[in-house]
Amino acid sequence: MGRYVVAVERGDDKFALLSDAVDKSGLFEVLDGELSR
Amino acid sequence: MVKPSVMMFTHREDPPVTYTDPELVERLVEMVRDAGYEKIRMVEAQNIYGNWYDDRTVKNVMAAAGFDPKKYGYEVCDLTEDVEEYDYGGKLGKHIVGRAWRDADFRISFAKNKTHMSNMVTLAIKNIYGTLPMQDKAAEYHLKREWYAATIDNLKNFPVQFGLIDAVYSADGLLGFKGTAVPQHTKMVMASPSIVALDIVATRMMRIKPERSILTKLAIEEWGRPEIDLLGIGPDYVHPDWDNLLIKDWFARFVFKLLTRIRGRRPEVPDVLRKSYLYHLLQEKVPEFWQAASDVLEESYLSFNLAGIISNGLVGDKMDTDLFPRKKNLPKRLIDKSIANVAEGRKNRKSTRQSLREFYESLF
Repeated sequence: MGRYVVAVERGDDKFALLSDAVDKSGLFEVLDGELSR
Repeated sequence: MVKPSVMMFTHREDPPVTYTDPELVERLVEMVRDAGYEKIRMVEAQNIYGNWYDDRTVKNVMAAAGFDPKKYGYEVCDLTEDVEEYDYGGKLGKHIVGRAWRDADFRISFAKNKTHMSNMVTLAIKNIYGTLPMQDKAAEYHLKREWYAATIDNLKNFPVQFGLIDAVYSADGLLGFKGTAVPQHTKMVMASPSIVALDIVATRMMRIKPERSILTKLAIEEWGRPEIDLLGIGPDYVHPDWDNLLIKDWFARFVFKLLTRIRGRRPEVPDVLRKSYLYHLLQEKVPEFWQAASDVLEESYLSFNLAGIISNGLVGDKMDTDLFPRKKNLPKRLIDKSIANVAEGRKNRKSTRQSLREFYESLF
């Protein structure tokens, strides 16, 4: 297996937590990479 | 495609503890759409609650939980209702697959942060067990097949490319997977392109060694142990006051609270008991015993169902029976199905053997 980022965001604003976790873990890079293949 | 954890829903919770928060899932849908992706599906499969309650289709349960596909422009797919034959190979072999699950270009597991009796935790990997299409999962995946091997075979055929865990509110304790009256406000969202890495991190935060989860253990054996770059929190962080399925925590607190209420002060364990070897053995080994006992329980369809009913009672049976009425003639239905399943059911008892072996080895 490879090396993977795990983003853990902690705080009071759940939508900000989601947004930060998604950004830091690179969801859209992975999504773009998978769907462009 | 997004697979939230919804089918353990029994009633609308504020905040959601038993199921992935619909507001978070739908915000994710908005983010994915804003990034230019239009065809977004939400999937779930029916589960064992359908043995005991009516109207447990995925669309009904998701609507009851507050999901709004029209407003947010996604499609809800019931993986139990639209299936095709498929050969998974491995132990799952020739079986069926939900078409929507099979056809997805990109799969996201959006789990809830909860403990689990058999797997220790139910996180991003265990969430994928929920995509196996048969509604009566006890009969199909616990008795005829190995539920954990079926989950791994499912993942091998239909990879999940991304994982998220809604840990804003979490459910700990003996029956966390069924919810709790006392949510843990853990204030977290976790994400990773590897659901194995994600589960390893989330499991450690519960003070559980990741390999104690049979699914994580099998996933590491199958795909290797991931190297992890942890962002946002230190590697030693654990949830404060977190109770696992350690019955000693749960039971001891219950008894102590009861005795405290009766006697007006916190009771002490008598020396004669505290100094005994048996007392220490029970204190230390009950987790292993409980996991082995729960696996043994799963070998019987009747006991699985009865345990489900009893554990519903322990949790408080909060099913909204206006939306999901109790089935009529339930005892007769269960006994009839039990006889049928004992007659035809087979089980490779690997999980039971492993659990009993771990319990036995833990004694010495």
